[in-house]
Amino acid sequence: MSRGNPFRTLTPQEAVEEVFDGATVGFSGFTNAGAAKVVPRAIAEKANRLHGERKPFAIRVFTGASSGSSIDEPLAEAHAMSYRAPYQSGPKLRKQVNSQEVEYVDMHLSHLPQTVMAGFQGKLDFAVVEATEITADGRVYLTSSVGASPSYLRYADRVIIEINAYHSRRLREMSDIMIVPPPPNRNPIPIHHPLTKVGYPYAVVDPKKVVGIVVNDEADHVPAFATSDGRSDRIAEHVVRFLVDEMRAGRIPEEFLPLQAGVGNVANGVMAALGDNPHIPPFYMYTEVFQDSLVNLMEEGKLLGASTTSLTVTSPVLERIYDHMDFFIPRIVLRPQELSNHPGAIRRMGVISMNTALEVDIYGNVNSSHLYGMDIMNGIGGSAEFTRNAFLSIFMCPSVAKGGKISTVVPMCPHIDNNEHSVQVIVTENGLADLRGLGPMQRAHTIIEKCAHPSYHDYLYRYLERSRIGHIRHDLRTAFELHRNLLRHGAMLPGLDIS
Amino acid sequence: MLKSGRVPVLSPEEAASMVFDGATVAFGGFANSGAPKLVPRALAHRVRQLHAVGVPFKIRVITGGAANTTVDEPLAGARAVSWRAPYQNSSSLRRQINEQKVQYLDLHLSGVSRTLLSGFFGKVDFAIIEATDVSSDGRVTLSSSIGIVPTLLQCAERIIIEVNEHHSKRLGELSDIVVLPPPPKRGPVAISHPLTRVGYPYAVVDPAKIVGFVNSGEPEEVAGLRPIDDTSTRIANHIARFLGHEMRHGLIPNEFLPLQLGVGNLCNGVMAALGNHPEIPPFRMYTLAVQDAMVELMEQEKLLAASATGLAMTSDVLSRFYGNLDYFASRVLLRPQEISNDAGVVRRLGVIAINPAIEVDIYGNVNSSHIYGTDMVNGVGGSAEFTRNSFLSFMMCPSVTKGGRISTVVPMTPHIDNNEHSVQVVVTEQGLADLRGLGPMQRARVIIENCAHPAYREYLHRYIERSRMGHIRHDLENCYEMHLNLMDYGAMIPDMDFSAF
Repeated sequence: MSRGNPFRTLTPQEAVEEVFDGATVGFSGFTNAGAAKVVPRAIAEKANRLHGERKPFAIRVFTGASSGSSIDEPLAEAHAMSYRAPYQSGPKLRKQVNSQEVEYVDMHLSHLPQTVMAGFQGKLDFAVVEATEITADGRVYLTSSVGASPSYLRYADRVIIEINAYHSRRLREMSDIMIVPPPPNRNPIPIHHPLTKVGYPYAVVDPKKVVGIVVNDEADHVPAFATSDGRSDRIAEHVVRFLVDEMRAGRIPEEFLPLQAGVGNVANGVMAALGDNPHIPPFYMYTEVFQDSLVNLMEEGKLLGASTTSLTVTSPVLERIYDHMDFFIPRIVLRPQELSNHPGAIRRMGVISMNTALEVDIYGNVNSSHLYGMDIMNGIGGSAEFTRNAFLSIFMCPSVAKGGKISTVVPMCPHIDNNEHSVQVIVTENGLADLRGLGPMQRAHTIIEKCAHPSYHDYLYRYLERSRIGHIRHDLRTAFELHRNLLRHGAMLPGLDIS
Repeated sequence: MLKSGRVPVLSPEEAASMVFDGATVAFGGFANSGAPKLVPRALAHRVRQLHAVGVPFKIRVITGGAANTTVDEPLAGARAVSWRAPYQNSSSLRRQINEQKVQYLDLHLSGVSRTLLSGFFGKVDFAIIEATDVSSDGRVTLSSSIGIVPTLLQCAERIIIEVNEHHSKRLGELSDIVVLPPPPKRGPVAISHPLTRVGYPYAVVDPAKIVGFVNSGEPEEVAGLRPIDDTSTRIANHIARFLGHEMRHGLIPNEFLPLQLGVGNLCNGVMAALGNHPEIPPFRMYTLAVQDAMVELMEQEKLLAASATGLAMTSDVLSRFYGNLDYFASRVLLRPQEISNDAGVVRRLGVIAINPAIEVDIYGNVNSSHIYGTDMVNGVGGSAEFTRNSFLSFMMCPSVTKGGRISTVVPMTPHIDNNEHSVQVVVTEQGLADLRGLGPMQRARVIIENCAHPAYREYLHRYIERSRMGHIRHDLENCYEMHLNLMDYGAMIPDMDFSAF
């Protein structure tokens, strides 16, 4: 702590004393990166204690995005949450959302700061934010994610700061923080390159609001993703070949365009394949999460720079970055999620977006979030704001799941996060469907032929044949037959053997 | 009469004769305004003659937005269209689309220019546009809409220009034209107010690409509007009271935010009632088209300024507008649709978006385009780009149509143009559902209670009760029961007593 720092150092238990039943709390964290750690656990303990005394205690929780093991899991385990926004990814919380125990609002991530500012979400009682330092005049240097923390620091009534000594104090040299002022009198955000900086290295808080600081040195709990499998590799091959062809055809400039990649092993596989391909020039990324695979690419000189809102990397990789900050600082910009996912910036730079789908329908609509249209998996996250504003938007998924019992290509999605108007390319391990310029029936034929697993071709074609004619052909009686079969019999086509 | 220099002045028939079978032809026009008139009609005539003698002839048609009366109706009437993008609202063409005779791409309107320039749709063989003046060095002053014309003048192989004397010569004073460069190296579109100018009063063309001028004096053919009805007024009153309440609570600044409204009867009615409502202060618009009601509100100084891409006024109002351009030229800007609907600008200005829905589901998803999820009505148009990037988004519709036989609030919409993530407020004449911050089941309750017609509320509540538990409750056996009933029996709940509506 710097000398003369006016803030009280508290134990986690002291810090959460005033956190009351029904409070709305905004935590730092975009994925587990930069998430508050010891305070949420202390809130969970408090909830357990009060529940033991048969007293009610549940809070409303906001974060940047998911923050599974640091925030969601301890709080869900203690049944300490009544409401959650804008994204989640923990198995316990998921179960509570799907049993209607927790109210969950699944939001576009760049919208969150704006809605907090406008007061749409009601009053924010507490902000709990992880930092490497807070100065006496209220400058807060954030850690491995920026997310929505700058907005929570500004708009919360009371603020608890977790000072985490694990993180490099030089993260501030990557941070580029500003809060976009309220409309209508605002100017363009002058980002015209992924590495343009437009703000400050710190977020700002009114020191009078700071309840105290809690000190710890816990690492981020970022789990390792499964290594890519054969199917991810084939998906990656299709994507890379397509992008190379587009470049040759002059539809992507030779300097290439900034890339966005979603989270997970399919995205990791694609990034690795892009890195390996000699025809893809060194490129930039304008994306929301910076994952393990990107560090190698950056060290190899293939990835020239990245704008992100979080360093979602495993601890060994994060430590590698911290050990080589002279190399990484000029190559990485950490922005608030309002800017990392900003529609104007994405559009302007011509980002190529690559996201994963749960399922796609034969007309190009994508379900990113709800199994059967009912059970939440994680949420929409940033996928829609990138897809919607991208120069070229790509969705990827394996053609079947659960050993062939589930086809990810279906007649109609029972939930639609990204629709046919915004989805341009669909890829599975079987092939790639370029939907640009195609009407609905041409899209259907292309998606079935190129993307669906061959064992499901027949069913999908028969669906089209029996459907009512129209601009889009559908049979509303059987549009969800595959999903109903899956619910009832555990397989979309119960008699099918694809072994 | 235009002095053409090198470029020949052609008859409409001569111009139409240049177009070949299989050509991709892009026409000017947006919101049925500023489209070419004589050449498409002559082309349709020629196609009928060719078809009569067994000669095949079809073209691929691109416009900015709607170009119903002068482009789509004649060409569809002659069965001359094989492919169409990005929007249409013509009854003949709609039928052919729904019979799968025409391939139709229903696109976000702000993306069309970039898509054309990138070459995703292949070569544009012809651009046929309307202008009021063309200089010998290739400056083209456009008529009553901008749309995608500036881009067409850059990327089309051959250009035919109808020079229409019917329009005011002063339209250049309203025009603010720029064609955005390709990514990735481009700066922000520097618009910080609906009236910020970032371009030129004219579009630019390489004169060598102009193959002919056609002289025209044809008036615009914007369809007349129905008188403003009670439903529009009630919807507008709900919206106005809500916005007033938001303002008093500081959620909307006192200077107000720019509005966007869709096009059509309902929108025009809502515009008039909203503009005249005492809760609404004088305001500005960042929208797609200037409709009749906006002109009146501007004359009353209730509407201070408007940015749009087309003047979608009926002929009397357009004449009034042209007659008083000293007043309107400083209050109205016409921009390319790439800019009028730009995601970044809509977000930056904090636009309040108000758009019509065909139907909404109980969770807040909106169908803007396809009846039964199969039959195209018009298209998504600009509704999604405004809804998605707005500060506050409204979707509105009457709670029932066809004498109560159709409820516009349904368990699940069979087509989704705007989804629950982007739709914030749903309004019918019954009331308003503010969905911000609500989880799915809370959304369902307020939509049913506030927006659904009382006659349908019980059905909708029962749908939820019999549905499987989940984050979103649905019953995939019965979610389309209402739509199937409508198809089979002509009413969503066939045994309902419709005399009460």
